[in-house]
Amino acid sequence: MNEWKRVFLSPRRLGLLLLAAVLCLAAFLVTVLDSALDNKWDYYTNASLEDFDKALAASTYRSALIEAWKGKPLEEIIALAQAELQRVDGVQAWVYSPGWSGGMYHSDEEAAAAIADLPALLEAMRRGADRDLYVTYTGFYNAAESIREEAAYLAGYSDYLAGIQSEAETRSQTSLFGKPGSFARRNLAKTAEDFETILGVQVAFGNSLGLERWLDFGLGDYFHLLAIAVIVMSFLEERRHGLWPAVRATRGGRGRLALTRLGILCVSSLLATALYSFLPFAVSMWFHGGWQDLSRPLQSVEHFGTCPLKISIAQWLLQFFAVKVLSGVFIGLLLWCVLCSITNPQFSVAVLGIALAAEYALYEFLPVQSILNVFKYFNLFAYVHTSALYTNYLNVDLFGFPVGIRTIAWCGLAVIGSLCLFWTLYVLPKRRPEGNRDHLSRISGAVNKGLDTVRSRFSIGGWEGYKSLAYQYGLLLMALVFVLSGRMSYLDSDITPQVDAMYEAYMGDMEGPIDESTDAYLDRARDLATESDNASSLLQALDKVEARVSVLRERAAAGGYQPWVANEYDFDIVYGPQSQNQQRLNAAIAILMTAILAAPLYAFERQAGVVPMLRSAPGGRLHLFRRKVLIAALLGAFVWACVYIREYVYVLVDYKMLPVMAVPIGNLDSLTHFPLHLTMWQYAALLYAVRLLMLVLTAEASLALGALCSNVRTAYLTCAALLGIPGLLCAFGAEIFQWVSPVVSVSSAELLWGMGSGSPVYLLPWLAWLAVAAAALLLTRKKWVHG
Amino acid sequence: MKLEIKNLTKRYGDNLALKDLSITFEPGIYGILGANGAGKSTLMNLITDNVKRDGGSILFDGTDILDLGDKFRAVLGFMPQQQGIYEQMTAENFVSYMGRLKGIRGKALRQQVGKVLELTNLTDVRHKKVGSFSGGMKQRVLLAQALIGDPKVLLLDEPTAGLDPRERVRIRTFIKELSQDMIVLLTTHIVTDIESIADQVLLLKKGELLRVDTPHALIASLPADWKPALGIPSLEDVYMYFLGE
Repeated sequence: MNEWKRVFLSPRRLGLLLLAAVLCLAAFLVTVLDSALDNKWDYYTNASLEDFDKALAASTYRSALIEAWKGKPLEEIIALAQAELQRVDGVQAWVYSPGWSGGMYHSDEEAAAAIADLPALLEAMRRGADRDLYVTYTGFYNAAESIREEAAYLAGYSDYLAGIQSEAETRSQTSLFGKPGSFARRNLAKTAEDFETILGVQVAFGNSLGLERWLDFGLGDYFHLLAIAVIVMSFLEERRHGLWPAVRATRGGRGRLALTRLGILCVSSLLATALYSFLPFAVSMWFHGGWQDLSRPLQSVEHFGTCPLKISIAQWLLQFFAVKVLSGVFIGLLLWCVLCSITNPQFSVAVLGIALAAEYALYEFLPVQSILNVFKYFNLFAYVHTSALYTNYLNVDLFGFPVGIRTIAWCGLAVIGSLCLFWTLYVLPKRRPEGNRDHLSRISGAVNKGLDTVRSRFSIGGWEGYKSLAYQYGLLLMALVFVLSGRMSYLDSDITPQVDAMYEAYMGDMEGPIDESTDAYLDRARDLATESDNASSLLQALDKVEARVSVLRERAAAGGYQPWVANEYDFDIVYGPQSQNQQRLNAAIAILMTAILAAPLYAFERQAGVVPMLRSAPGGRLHLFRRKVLIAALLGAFVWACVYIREYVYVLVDYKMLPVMAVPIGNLDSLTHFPLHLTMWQYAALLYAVRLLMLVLTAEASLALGALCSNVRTAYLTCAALLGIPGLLCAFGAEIFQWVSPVVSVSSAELLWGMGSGSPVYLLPWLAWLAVAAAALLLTRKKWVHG
Repeated sequence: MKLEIKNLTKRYGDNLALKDLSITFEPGIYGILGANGAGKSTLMNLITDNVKRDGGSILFDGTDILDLGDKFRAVLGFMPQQQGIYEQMTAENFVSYMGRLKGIRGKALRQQVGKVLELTNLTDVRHKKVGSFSGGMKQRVLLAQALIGDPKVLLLDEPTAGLDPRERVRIRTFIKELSQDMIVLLTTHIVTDIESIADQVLLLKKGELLRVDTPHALIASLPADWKPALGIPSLEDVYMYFLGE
């Protein structure tokens, strides 16, 4: 019982697992919102938690439609869904382009009457063309669209099944597939045979979205893996603390302890499945509905279109959760075997890390068509992403015979699981703490010998860099930063509708320097407009364009720069207030990354207990301090490069801003009074330089905070809590935290854009962060150098 | 070469760790004896400026060590009592790193690293990670880092703790050889270590310096009616007589 208590009631472990559950649920909610409210066109609505009610309204609308249409022929459902799409789409067309002759509605009253049964959309429409309407509309549109797609899938499913059989027959006649005994021939036959079992299955219309969204959520699987790893790591604690001989010397310290730990692993896997798999499923079903539709055949859900199991969704769910628990135990046993079979705990963790990285690389990057694809599915991560074994149908070539990926996984689980069980319950308890043959240590000795010839030539700066990268896991964290930053979004738009589409079209055409060609364009446009059927609207728009060009010319003449026609919205969406939320979020993530990277620089010395020794050496005070400051600055610069250089490239290349970056910023209304005369190139350079400085200051502040902590773990937590979390809270809408976080200073976009009004007040956050970081650094210097 | 300590005082809150301590060290070996909490480690930490003094001064060749700063640290070798060490480094890495911090580089560094690893009998395990070492081996790594850079003042806080008798004798002999032109201050609970090599012994009790003398003189100062534990009077009897409660 003590072992159960030790593992499950450790506050740190318990806290970590519960925090992971909260993060898992939060991440799932975000993906639910994103999928419900993001459109598939030009812009991202970037749903936030405040849009929850809109997503819920859309989901309720969707569920009501499904309930109402159940039992109708699928073709009729498709037609009904199409009509719903037009009804919803007509509203946005009316609000955003009221003059458009092709619109469905021609007055507010008409549009309001059409959506009288959709109060959320009606209310948003009445508020006018703002982001709320756009997001609400997107939710309703997506809801109707998903029904149409589902009905279309179901309508074509019996043909799809029949197609598999006929295709098998036809292809087996061709020369490519016709060679008897070939894998291709056998695979065709096996596929046809597998799917024959579900021929004639009566797929039924119902609410599948809850299940589909949950199946799309892969992050929960990683949380599950993390939880299992945390529990297995707890089995190593006695080794870490040098208690292995003492534990092994007790009556229950061998086989009985192993058996207890197996029990702990089983319960852990059950709990992890409940927390990171079932909980998101339950939330998804609550949000999207569909509990009552679980008795339908499995193939009624599009994700399972290629799953030849003749069972209901509910039966599959039971099977899945059981398999998930079993997979968790299996993964745990594998980790346990690797970690405990290597005598040196640190080394065992390193070996496990490398093995996991290799497995992940094989699972993620090995092409399905590869001759080695058996390693893609006979792989640890196949058991992590258990649902993929059901949603993908694939036969692997095993010595010329097609074997299903699920069969491979189950056989692997049975065989390797049994071996691991034997190893953990019988072999490992017999291992002695001392005197084991340690071949890996011999290898590491040889590696160290080679590395020492290089390391012995390191300068102090080189050593500090090496310590940070190798001993403080900096390299691993940097790789993580690099990967994560690649998944960041750089565009957010609180959609501003194109109120006057014609005006916008003319301005878009004319984008560039204002010169003679501009006048020529306007003359030609006026001539064409006069002859058009829509002359009055076009001429009205042209009048506005000419007035705008005139204003820009006067302003440029007064300011002494070249007049340009520039679409301010394009810049606003990247660097202006439109991008504020996204910029803050990116800045908060960058701050968190920087804080985590720089936190252990000094804390590591305190944890190792070497401070008195270092401070007794002539280079161990100021010299060392300077090197650490430099390393912190480089770490900050690395995060800056990962986050912001990527953003810059994205803005220039993907967002196609390259041709318009030469615009003098005075041409943009928001930046007319900017204190310096700059082009957009220079403005961007200034912005990125300030961001670099602010992130470097953040790294220095993190270094200073870490210096107050007695160990690395505390340093991580302190820096994340004081620097990272307030920034994230601010980015998620808790404005109050902008005063206790450098998020606004690091983001810089809103401050620099704000300076376009000419007010120096926007300098204050930068100066404040500069002062705080400098003071923290000076105090650390004083403490380290002078004691 | 002189290391003068004048009226050195250190408090930790209400606790007086060192009280008005004055002594002058010249090349030779000084053994510091005292019970736990007598102020031995505090004295070491004050000389290395790892702890702020509350009064008095520490002069090296007439100049306060705080004014000398890095110049003093350049002639200092310090082996602390706690086994603080980078467990991820190999023995060679650790000694090499400390050598760099002492300003040694290039070929000279590699030669000195080899020499001190040889002296501390660590050559065979120089490429092994310190984390896998026993307590005694870690102790030798710490001694090796203190020796690198040819220090003029060597502070050794419990240098022989955890070493087997053979290693202790080896280290003792080595320290004795070094002391010709070096000030060596060493604290230990193993009184015989001091007895065999110390030129002078300092007896510290509750922050106060009770006696400073040669081991023989201290033994001779025992009262005539003192009954030696092992029949023959030794420094252990001095410890028990002067410092025992």
